[in-house]
Amino acid sequence: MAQVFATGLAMGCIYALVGLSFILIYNATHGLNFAHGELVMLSAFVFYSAISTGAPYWAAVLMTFIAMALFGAVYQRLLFFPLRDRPMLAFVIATIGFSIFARNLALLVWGPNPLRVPSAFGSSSVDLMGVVLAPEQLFIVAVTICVLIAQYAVFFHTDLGRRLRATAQNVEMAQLMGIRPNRMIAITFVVSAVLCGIAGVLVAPIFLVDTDIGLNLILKAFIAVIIGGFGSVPGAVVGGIVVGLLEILVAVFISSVYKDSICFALLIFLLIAFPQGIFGERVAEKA
Amino acid sequence: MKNRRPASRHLSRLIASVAAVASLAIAAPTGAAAQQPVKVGVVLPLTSVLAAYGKPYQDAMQMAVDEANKTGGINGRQIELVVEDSQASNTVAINALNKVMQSDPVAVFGPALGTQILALMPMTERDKITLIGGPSTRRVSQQGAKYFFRNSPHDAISKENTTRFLVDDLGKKKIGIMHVGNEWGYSGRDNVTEFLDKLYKLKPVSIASYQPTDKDLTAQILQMQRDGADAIVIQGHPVDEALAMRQTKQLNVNVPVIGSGSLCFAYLRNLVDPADIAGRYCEAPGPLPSLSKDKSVVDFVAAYKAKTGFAPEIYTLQYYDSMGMLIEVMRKYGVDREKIREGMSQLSYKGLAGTYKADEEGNLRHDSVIMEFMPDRTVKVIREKRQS
Repeated sequence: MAQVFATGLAMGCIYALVGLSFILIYNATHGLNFAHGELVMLSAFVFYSAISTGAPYWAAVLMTFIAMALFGAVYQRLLFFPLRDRPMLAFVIATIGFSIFARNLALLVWGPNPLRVPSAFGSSSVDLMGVVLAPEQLFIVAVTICVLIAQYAVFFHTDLGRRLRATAQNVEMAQLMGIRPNRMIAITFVVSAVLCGIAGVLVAPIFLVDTDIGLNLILKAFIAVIIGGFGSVPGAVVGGIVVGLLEILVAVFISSVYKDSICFALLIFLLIAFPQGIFGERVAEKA
Repeated sequence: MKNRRPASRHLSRLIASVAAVASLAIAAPTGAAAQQPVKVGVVLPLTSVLAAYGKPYQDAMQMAVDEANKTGGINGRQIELVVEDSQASNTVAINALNKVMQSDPVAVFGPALGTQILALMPMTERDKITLIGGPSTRRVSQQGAKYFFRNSPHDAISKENTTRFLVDDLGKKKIGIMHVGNEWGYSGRDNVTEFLDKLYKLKPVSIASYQPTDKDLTAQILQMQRDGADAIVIQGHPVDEALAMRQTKQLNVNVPVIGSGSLCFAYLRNLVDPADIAGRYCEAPGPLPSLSKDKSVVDFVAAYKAKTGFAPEIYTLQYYDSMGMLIEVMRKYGVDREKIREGMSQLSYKGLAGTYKADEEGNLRHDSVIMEFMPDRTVKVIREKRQS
């Protein structure tokens, strides 16, 4: 049972990271970025390319984060900025278009064959009181905790964080207070893209890198943010872990065939019965 | 009269010239037709997540065509491939075939995917055109199709070999089956289950499936352990079999694990660390082409590597061979669609992977081998079932 929980927790942390980056953009723009899975995919491909240059592991990770930060800025400038005064549906449709473009671009640049990124930990496992864990799983949990602490510190203990939160809560009011919303939104996109970069770097060695790598993650992350309460930062984290645990518990004790069906049935049930999720609107507004 | 003779000569020359030009004009289309290339349609997944199951086969078939064209093509006519992308969708595959058919091909190669072949089959049967493909799903060739030829052994051949290997050779009785939740996976599961019952009166102790997009197979592996499986059969795609092998190692699964031909593909495409599969097994229609000492196979492997950067696996070799067989059929029987079907049904063709001879269902290949991945990163054939 502990084994099942440990594995579910690690997957849940990945969903939490992706969900977190997803709702950052939602909070800043009130738009849904349907190309979010593709941002994870691109970061995994970039990480593969960086590793392939023969660069040390840490340097490849750094290169990926820098590339994703730049990408986030360009993405905001080219996709969100021109559409910022249009109905948000225009942005949503543009992100769907970008997701198709990004997948085909990846196919052209990196080819159709899945790619293997070597793991920094090899394929060894760690035995913790009878629970066999892959070192990557422990690392994912540790990184997620670090990211959450860092994000909390930035958002609640820095001037930049206050500006970002002010912009997320009310753009007009933030502007009246002397905050430049466009700049804050651009920073939010960069932070979100770097979070996708972290997720991509974490999953690339445990999954093979292909154009599909982000699709499943974003679907589960979407369920996670619904469960947690749409727009809530802690909700995304809790929701991610709930989804990770739920799917492995369903797969092990009910049916591996129906685990996705049960997860999505739960999503529909929650949308109908508890539209505000676990943390509801109050926390969402604070984020 | 003296003056009229040259005039009549001129007239007769004129008539002769006109007749000659006219005869040339009449003959011209026939001559041009003789120089028209012989078109062979190719419908394969070249983009989408299934692209890895298309491009290698296209490359191999193009090599066979290039070699044939250098030696005169089909009685002086060059062979031309008309290629369309089927992506990961049956609808796209049908549209691709429609497009290919507009170029009036003499035969069509389809994907190694059972569902797509089943989608294409009604059209090729209606148009009375030979369809060659490599899906191993048993029921594909049980549809009563007259024009379909399978260039790879079906699951009933490979899974009988696998079942016998696990029970007779390894002495295992508690077999667990993990499979991808699609036609290919279910075919593997059903055939292993059938042979366990038919040959040994056994039932699988555990069966777990997963979605093609699943990356974490821990739950399925834990289920195998919980149910006490003493050997695990996996039937999936290269990506998920590679991930399954890695995750079984990480979860300290020490029972024999045998993958399908997809695992050979994963091994050759560097999707799995050789250290992760040391001691694991895979089944395939034949040994890895790179293990062969036969000069023709060695030359093919070298040429394929030079062209694509990868070593070919057996399925790629089968597409190369079956294109070679089609070329030989066209040379011997002609390029008429009905003659091609007749030739494919009758000819026994010696390819690089073995002999190709159609049975009553249109299955051309009947071999199966089990290979073991050795700790020194080599691959060894440990069981063979050859009918060719």
